[in-house]
Amino acid sequence: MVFLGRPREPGLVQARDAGPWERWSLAALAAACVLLGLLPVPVLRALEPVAALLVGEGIGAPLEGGWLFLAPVSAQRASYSPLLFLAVIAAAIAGAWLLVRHAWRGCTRLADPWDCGFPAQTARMQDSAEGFGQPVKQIFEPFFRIEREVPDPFDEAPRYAARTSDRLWHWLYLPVAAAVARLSSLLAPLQHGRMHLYLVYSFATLLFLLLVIRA
Amino acid sequence: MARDASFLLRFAPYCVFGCMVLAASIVPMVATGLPFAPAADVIALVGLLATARVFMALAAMDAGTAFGSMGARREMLVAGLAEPALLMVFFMPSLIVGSTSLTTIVETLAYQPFALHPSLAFAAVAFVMVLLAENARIPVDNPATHLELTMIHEAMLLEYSGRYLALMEWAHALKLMVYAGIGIALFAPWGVSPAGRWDLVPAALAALAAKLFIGGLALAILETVSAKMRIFRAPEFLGMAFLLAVLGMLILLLQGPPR
Repeated sequence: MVFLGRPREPGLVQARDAGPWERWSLAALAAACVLLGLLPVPVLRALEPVAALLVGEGIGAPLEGGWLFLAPVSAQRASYSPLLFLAVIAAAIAGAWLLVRHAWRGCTRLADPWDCGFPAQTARMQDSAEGFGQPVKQIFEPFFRIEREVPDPFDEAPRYAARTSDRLWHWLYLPVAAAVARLSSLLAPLQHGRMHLYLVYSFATLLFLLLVIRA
Repeated sequence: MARDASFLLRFAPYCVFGCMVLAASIVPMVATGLPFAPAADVIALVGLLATARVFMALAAMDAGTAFGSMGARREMLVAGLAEPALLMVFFMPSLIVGSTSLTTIVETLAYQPFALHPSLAFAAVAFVMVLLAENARIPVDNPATHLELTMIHEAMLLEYSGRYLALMEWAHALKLMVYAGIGIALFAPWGVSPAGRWDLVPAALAALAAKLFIGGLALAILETVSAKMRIFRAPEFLGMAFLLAVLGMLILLLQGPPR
């Protein structure tokens, strides 16, 4: 979790945030996602000619409900209005904020994190991405080939390593790849650039073709 | 509040609360024809609950404490397993009724002549299991615990106090209410007043109160007789919910198209 973390290794203390130009590309992609979520109907309208060209039939009905509502079949069956959605959420948030402001006019005291009363926080205790995904990995362990090195709990400088790979990769793809490699190594002598081998090769092919034509 | 937390920690309670308010305004508990109901169907509702959950997990990690991120991690684990089961449960009434809009489902199921849907029974059991998991109830999590190693939901709220904690708790209560409302709407929609019939609203309110009372009683009994599971047993629990939902779906498909 790079998100809010503190440096775990001394070398990372000097790490700095990305500059605005580096962030810009990601921000633009995120903004495009949000826009797509908020205004699906104009995008679908723009895409409709493509669908019509490929499938021979447009989407038709969903786009007739106006730009505010997206209704895949008919409004009776399902409808979705992201803008209305967002507006109500925003209104609820603002309402809650005003209500809380009105009801309770104190200021917030800042203090050290409570964390169940545990005083010592070191960078080792915060979650890494590996730690965050660990339960999910543990559940789906039968489906993966996981090799783990788990340190002793009392180790001062623990080392944890896990390699996850797909079982299918080992069962299905690697044998095929190995077979192809073996076959090609058998055929490799043909390609050493010896003229007489090439001549024999062409001759055999010619004979074979003649036989085929005869038959 | 924690000193080194960002604005997320302050913003998340409002966001979670807003999401829950919208969810509650979509579910037809007393009457159909709600003003915001056309804005979202059940699938969008699942997305709404997921949004609230993501903000909660982000806020939990925001303070940078070990327990917060542990809670967020476990919550995401449970949520990732519960969500497919929940969607499967929602698909079943949608298949029966031919609509994913909650209003249409309730109107169809409540006002058509009584019909027995065996698949809905499977869906109801699966839904109860998902409800228990998603609302941090006992077999999966304990809403009252502050024992470090077992808490999921509470671990995420550790850094909150005052108004923020109140908002979070309120949102959590609303979530349980929304789930109960969805359960009632899908599996026991009788007595909900149709759109525009204001005279039927008091009766519908009474029916809702009775149904919620029965639901609360059942929940209390269920929690009393069951013990909390290990966290790594939760996948089995939720896998069973998913399986039940799929079984119900298969039965529905075997029955043929709805008459």
